[in-house]
Amino acid sequence: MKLTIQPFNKELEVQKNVLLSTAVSSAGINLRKDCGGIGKCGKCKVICRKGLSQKTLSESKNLGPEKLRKGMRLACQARILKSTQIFIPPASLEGEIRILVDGFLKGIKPNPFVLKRSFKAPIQPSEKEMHWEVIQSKIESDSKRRLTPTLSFLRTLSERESLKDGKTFYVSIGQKIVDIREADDHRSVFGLALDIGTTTMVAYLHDLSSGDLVSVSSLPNPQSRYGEDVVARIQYAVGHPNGLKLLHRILIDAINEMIQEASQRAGISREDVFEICVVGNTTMHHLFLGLRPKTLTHFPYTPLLRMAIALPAKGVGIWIHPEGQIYLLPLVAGFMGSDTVGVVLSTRLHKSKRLKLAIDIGTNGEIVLGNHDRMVAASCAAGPAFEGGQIRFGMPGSKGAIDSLSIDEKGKIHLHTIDGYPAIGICGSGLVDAVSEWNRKGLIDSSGRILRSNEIDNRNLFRHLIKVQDQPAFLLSKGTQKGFLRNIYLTQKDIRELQLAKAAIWAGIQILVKTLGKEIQDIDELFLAGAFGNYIRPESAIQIGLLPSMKKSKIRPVGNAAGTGARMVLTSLKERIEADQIAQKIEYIELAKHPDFQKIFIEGMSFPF
Amino acid sequence: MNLLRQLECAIIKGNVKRATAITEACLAEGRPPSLIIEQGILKAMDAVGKKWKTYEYFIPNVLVSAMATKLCLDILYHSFKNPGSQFLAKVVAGTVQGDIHDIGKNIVVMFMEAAGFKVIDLGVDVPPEIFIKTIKKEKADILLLSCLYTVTMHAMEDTIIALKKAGIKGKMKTLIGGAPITQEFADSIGADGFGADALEGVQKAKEWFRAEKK
Repeated sequence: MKLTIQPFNKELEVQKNVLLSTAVSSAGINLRKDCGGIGKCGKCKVICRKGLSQKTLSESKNLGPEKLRKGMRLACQARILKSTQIFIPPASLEGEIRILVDGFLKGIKPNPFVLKRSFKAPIQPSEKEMHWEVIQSKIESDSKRRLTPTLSFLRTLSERESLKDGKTFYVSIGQKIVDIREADDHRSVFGLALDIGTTTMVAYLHDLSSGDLVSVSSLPNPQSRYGEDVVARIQYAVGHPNGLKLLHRILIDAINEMIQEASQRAGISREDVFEICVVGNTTMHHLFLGLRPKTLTHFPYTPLLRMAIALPAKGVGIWIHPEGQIYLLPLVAGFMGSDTVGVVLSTRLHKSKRLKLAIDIGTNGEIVLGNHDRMVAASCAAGPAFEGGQIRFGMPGSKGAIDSLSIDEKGKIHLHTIDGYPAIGICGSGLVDAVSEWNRKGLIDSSGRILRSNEIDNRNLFRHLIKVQDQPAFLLSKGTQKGFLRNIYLTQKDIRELQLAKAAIWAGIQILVKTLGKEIQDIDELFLAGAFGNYIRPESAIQIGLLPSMKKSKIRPVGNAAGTGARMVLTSLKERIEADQIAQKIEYIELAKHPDFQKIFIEGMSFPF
Repeated sequence: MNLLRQLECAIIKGNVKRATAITEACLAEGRPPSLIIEQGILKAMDAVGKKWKTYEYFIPNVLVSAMATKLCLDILYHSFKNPGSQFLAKVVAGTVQGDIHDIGKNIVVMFMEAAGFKVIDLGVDVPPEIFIKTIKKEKADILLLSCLYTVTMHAMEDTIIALKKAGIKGKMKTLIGGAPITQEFADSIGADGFGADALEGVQKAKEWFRAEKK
């Protein structure tokens, strides 16, 4: 019987009664196994409504009636009885900082740059010996392709005994032939889509013959210790002797680590990977290539090169197949790089008739507004508040981060933390929720000021108001007696930091809308990209004025849309042409130069309700 | 509450209409402009400064208070006997070359004007030569430099070097500020003063020139 695993689009043959976790593991996907697979931790959650055995006691205990009704099961408890499909939520995967593994590939027909093909081996005795010209002519007469040999290929060829009768496989990257394989060598050819985020990097390993995703790996960007934001890293690269070399080396090392991990998870060798498609903002792109980012140190911040480019992986220091190539998608302009191109590509904004807005609220905050007629884009430089930076108890989206919050009628605070760990801090989505709730409940006025107790109606809420140094603050979570956990609070300064960040995004959106001569109501759909976008509650974002007021149904989280764009380009050549066109077409607006920017930015600081 | 206290409150609240109306009323009652500035306006700016430091006030609040101040000062300056004499000093201000951010600089400029300085604001992305030309033409006492990016900080150093080359650095004061600026950086490039925020900058400027006035 068949098991289909989403969002990986993976299909496999399974035996009846096999444990779901075993089946998933054999597909190369690692589910969490905190308790060793005995049904105690409840972390291997999957969603599946039919074709599985009856729920066990462990499942009832761990999931509860609400989740069970939604079709949630535990993989270590359920057995497969009929062909079925399951969906694995990101949180159930091993070792992620809530990195978005999904996003979506809408039925792309595989058409990669790397091909595994075959040719019929020789029949003539004179042709049994390995030499290139024979192979070349066989391939040409078979497929009309005129290939050129590479060094690795020639060396492999020289080691082979003879051509056998029947099929012989070969691997080509574009017009270059890179490998020759026996008929019984069933290895596929693989490629990697790499999203080099300023804070977090993700690698998606695909089987290029089927187009399927086989494994994912992710790591925090190691350059963070030399600068949280791109400007600090550029300064380090340009200002410190060997600064560039260092930043380049640690980045490449980490990427090689991800490649190794993804390969291991998929049960392949890293030398079975033949191509890597890369997306990232301009700074990450330049540092990845080891380019001195001098042009990014002053206005107008022109990238050293903007167009898409293919380079040998070896030259960059990336270890895959010796002839492997790196394909970097084109950049837009200034600091806005190929990650934005990836977002447009995967959301199909450039093909849409109706007006669409895509927002990637990461470390930088990029927005694109438009449709097939015209596209305008801007980088909002929102600052690190949405990733926990500059906030007293701010932290990235990892275990123990408060990621959502609500206050009930009795004034009690209900916190939700990532993975259910006790609260140790607050992440971007939690921050937006918290400030939104306090604003909704009348504790923050429209200027963002925390009200004094004599200004607050609801006396149930007084107990949460505290003073920290000489600032008012909200207590969100009380620390423990033994001192393992601290009091978690949100200060007036934290709220001001959020105001700055949200004002930047708000102003960016308003100016792009103005530039196209449109209104907010004209926006048909709003794509929220980036990890933050998937976890933020749209109502909270609208409440605080981060997103414009619009129907909730118009807002669509799209996960790691930049990464999805890279995956599309990896699996289909057609998408590369699209990506080039997108990069050419996007009109980049320098927000700070817009005459209305300052006024709108300051307006955007207030809370609308 | 007497009129001057009322003026102080109106400015703190950013109530432009009320502040200007009270200012006219004070003048009509015969109060000297310098007294109105000292007791009404400067007190208000101090209070706003305190609220800014504790984050009780934020950029929009400060801007409306500064706007109220500016308009009141405009009214008062018209009634000075020697126009120009009421200024503590002349300031040339701008954001350095390569940098196009100006919200912070605009706030400082407003506060400086409120404190009694005459400010010539050159805007953003200003090359050293333009600063020098204007300083010479206006016979300015203070050069105020601002930048927001770490990558444009070197332009501050370039500007100060240009001042030295033009032989005017010793004849005036240089005051710098902006998000990435620190005291160490200010010392390293030879700036006379540094302000961690707009209010500290104005404080520094007042320290230099109030004494001289007296």
